[in-house]
Amino acid sequence: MPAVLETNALCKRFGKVEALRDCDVSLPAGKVTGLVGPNGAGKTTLLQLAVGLRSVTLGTIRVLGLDPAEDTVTLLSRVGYVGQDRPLYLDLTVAETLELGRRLNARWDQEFARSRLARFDIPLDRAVRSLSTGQRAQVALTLALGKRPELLLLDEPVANLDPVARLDLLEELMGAVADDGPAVVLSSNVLSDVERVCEHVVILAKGQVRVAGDIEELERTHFLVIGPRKAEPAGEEVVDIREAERQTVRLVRGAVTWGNGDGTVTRPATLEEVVLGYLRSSRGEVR
Amino acid sequence: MLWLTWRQHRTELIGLLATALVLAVLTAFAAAFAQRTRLELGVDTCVPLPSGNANCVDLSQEWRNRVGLLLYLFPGFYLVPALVASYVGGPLLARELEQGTHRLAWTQGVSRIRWAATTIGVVLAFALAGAIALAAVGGQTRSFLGTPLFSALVTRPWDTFDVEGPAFVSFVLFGLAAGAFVGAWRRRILFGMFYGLVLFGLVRIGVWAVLRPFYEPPIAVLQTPFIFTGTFPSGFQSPVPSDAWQVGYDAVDGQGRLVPQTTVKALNDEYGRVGCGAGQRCDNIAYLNQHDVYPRLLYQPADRYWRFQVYESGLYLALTAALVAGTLVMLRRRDA
Repeated sequence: MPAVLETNALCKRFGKVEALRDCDVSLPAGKVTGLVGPNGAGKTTLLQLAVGLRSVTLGTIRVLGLDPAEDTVTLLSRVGYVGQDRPLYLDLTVAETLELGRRLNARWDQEFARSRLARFDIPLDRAVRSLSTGQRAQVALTLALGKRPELLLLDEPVANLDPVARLDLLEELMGAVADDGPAVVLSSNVLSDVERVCEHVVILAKGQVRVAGDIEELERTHFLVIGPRKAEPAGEEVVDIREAERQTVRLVRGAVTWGNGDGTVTRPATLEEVVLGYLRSSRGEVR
Repeated sequence: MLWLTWRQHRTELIGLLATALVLAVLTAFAAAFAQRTRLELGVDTCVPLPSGNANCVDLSQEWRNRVGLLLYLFPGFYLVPALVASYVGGPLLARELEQGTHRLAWTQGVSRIRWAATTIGVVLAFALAGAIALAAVGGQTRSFLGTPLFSALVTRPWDTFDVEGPAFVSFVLFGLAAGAFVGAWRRRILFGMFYGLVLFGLVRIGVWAVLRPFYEPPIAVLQTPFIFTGTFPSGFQSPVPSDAWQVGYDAVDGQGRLVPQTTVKALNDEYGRVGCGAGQRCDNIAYLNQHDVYPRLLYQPADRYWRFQVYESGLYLALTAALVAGTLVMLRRRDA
């Protein structure tokens, strides 16, 4: 299956700051992908480049096979996007917000959008301003889903939501994109959210991809090797080494082959351990 | 897209138009009232008493008391385009860019150009309608001029150049475009409101002071010597027609070559020190003439008034178009 979002040596500079450098990602169709990384890793920038809100400094980006800077309008009729802070026109009512979606998009499913909001008991005649943060998030998501996109890009979709609203939105989102739904790319710096809904993950740090892959695959191929300080790794790729008082904890990629006689313990790594390992190694420091 | 623009701005647009219409009607009535009161009191036909002109000043004061605050309608017309620049133009695009809602609008299936062009276009159209209503009655504010409060700096018809006709309309449109451009540039409402106003004001003052007097080469007339003969009234007549706009002065020599003002000043100083010589009567003009210097007055005659209105509005409309185009190009290219 072709990638829904593909970048090649993508670079984006803001003045002297490199938000993305030599960034190569290829996000699979039909999956929910999590973009993970600390603040400032380039997640928002990548998503904004993907919908043509920003322009590329160097390299290429293709979304659904299109160049976002050139074919912005065509692309946006097929891509739903909810930006950081989920902007909405506060003075509009909910119904007017849907009307905005209907009038500004070539493709729009009004029935779907209305029934979706009805499910959340969000009254159509209320001003967006008077809605709770959680309700606004649902309206913003509905606006993106209403155009029946082939790809849904969500920038921190559950930030600032309380735990219940967070769970609601994520579960509902998964329901909306299950079977035949759009591919989804969502950014988050909350790992548990990503773990809950994503099948594929891309770990970004300092504008570069540290690792990308299916979560299952990452968990299967990464191990924590906990052993004496001086134990040497045996040819496998060591992602990260953490020195503690009496022992060394290594995140290792690939099958672990060395023996157990020296007091070394090896166990499969969790997604969190994988992510933290890669992020730590990108910082080049131990916390 | 039209729907969204209308939905977003309908309150301010209706308010803008309603305010303009109310102000236009009020101006028409107020000006008629002021004029009628003026005639009733005989403000303009008052003959000064031999002992002074206190009687006429009193009449003027009485008229002013009766007209009251309506007098301020005249300067109000100067403020209207500036207020439009600041309050309508400044926030127009800056509000979206500052609050981030442009990222919502720009990720629907409408191009940025169409979004911005529709927004600016609709608001410009409403501003145009309101400005035309005001421009039609602006000239009547002349009734408030020539009083202790607002003595006319220039003579009619030039005194109402800034508050009527195509020029006034073009100021409003230019103000709107200037505010929108500056606000969109910095993406800040307050920046747009303040510096939109500053840009508008600087251009207005610059054009008024530097360009407008010379849209066409002014007519030059020689200043004539005035010899006081001992009787009043002297019958002195200015060589400049009473309905002309005097825009400056210069001096030429017998061959028609321009004489530098430093020379003229030196001669005037000399005249102040030595006069014309013993037993001779002359004024400084005659003295200059004796030294082959002929000071002239430059003016624009009244029959150029509407042509000048067309020049000025053409200039401002061109600036408006350039600012709108600049705004669109800037938004299209820029990172959001």
